Amino acid sequence: MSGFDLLYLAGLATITGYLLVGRVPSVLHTSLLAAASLVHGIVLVGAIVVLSSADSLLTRLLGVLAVALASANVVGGFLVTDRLLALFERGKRRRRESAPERKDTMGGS
Amino acid sequence: MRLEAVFWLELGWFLAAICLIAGLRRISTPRATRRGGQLIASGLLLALAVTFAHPAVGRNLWLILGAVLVGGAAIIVPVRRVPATDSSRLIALFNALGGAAAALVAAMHLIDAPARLSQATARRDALQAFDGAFDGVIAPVPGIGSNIASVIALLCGAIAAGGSLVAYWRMSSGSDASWRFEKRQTAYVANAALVLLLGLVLAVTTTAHPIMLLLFAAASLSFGIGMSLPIARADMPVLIALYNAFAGVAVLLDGMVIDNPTMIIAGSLVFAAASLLMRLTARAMNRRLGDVMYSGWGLSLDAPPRPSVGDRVNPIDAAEAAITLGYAARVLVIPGYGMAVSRSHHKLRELVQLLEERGVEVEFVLHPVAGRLPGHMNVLLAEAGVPYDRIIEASDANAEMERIDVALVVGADDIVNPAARGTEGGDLTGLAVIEAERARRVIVLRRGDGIGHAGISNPLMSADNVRVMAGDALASVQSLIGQVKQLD
Repeated sequence: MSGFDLLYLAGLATITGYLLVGRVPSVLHTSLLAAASLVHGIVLVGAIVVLSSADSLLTRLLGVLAVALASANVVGGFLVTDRLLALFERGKRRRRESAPERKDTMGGS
Repeated sequence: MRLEAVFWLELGWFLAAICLIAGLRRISTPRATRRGGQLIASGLLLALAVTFAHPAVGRNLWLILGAVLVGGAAIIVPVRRVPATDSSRLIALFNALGGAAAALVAAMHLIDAPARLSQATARRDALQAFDGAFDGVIAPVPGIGSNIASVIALLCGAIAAGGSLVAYWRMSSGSDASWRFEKRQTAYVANAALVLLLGLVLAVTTTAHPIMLLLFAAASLSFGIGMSLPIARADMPVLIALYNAFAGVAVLLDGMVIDNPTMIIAGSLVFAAASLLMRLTARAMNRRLGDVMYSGWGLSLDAPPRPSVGDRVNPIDAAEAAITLGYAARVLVIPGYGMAVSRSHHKLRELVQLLEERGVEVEFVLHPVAGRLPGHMNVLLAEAGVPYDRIIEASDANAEMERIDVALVVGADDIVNPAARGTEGGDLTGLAVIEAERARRVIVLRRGDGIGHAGISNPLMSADNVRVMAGDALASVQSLIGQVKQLD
């Protein structure tokens, strides 16, 4: 792609990002931040591409470091995002389970 | 055969980008589930899998696989060891990792830009030969443009890495002090000038000298570190989002440099989401971004001695508090950092269930910056299984406050401090607080010294409708549970 195509892509994707997360409830701020830190783990793809064309000792060293750091970003980012989201999911499931109970007591009174 | 591989590569990267967008979409709605995170992860895995079909990938394969395994495995234990409620610290760590990786990718590009250029040309030629439809769509970024992009990517990645590491360290060490020294402004400006100078030189030279690159990387790193050292620990949430945005920009520019649309999309999404979260968090704390960055809010090394709380507080014992709560119609629970410290959220949930069985309507109000991080209280309450729809926002709570019979403040101070609305609130002035004092009665569970994080004494504690139950929140909640059970 030419330079300007890339700029268009970046601009449109940024606007998409704003629209996507614009109305996020404050409850989910930390989960979303975790997800964002997972998404930039995509740098692993770039790291692999540059490492595979590295031919000097220096670039290989830098490349291996980049790939290792990016992998840690992906794996850790997923573990934390999943854990945070699981907490919320569990909270919601309990609500669903307890909802009929509440209705019963209200009907009885 | 090579051409088909490139087709699957492009298709895979495209689908991966769609997965990332859809996943983020899922996570930012109130119905967020684990599926959102899994969607993002599968997008990343897909992008990763097809990358091995890249015409350039093939050499150094064992190095790549080894590095992936080592890096991926090394992070598992540290992540497992940190409790979910401290996740923000880990997010800072991931921003450091991603930023550093992005900076390294940019550095490698600068080291052998000519090789990269021919590689991109090869890919363009392959695509053009594959199908006329790709005509002219894929072309390498011209030399100078890609050099500038790499330099900025390196800068942003290094800033994200340095700054995030400081944030990680500050949150792990538990030290409240922000670090300042004499003439730090001069050092900071000198550092910025060095970054600018080296960056300009690197951008216009075709092949970068490794030593110069190292200097530039070091200067960028120390710029990032210097940026976050003077910032108060209370402002760390804003800072984490800021460095997340920096990492996003670094990834975006890397994507431009190595001509990978998925990286551009992912980087842009991260930049957008993180900068928005940064603004939302700052607004929630009623702090201007400029104030966060350029002044030290809250505690510093030379903080004035903490004021002591007035001794005129009205005490209440567990039995009386239980009666007040048990016979109320509407109770509003306002949890704060004290709940997190004492880990009393499970017991609190038990108390609330008891009250609900008695027909009391109980709601939780979460201040956006209750605790030390945004969402801190949310995570704890979710962990304790407090239903999602029983949690309301601070502004809604303030609108309803007159109709609340009892406001139960559990280990919160600054976020209910009425002084924030006046001019005497010191560092708290302007913080949008929960106006608990307008409820009919207020019961405060607190440990004793009576001063919040910001070091401002709280007039709420001595108000006429306020009763204070001293002691550790966990013990207090437990005795409340016992007493409520004894009510008929």
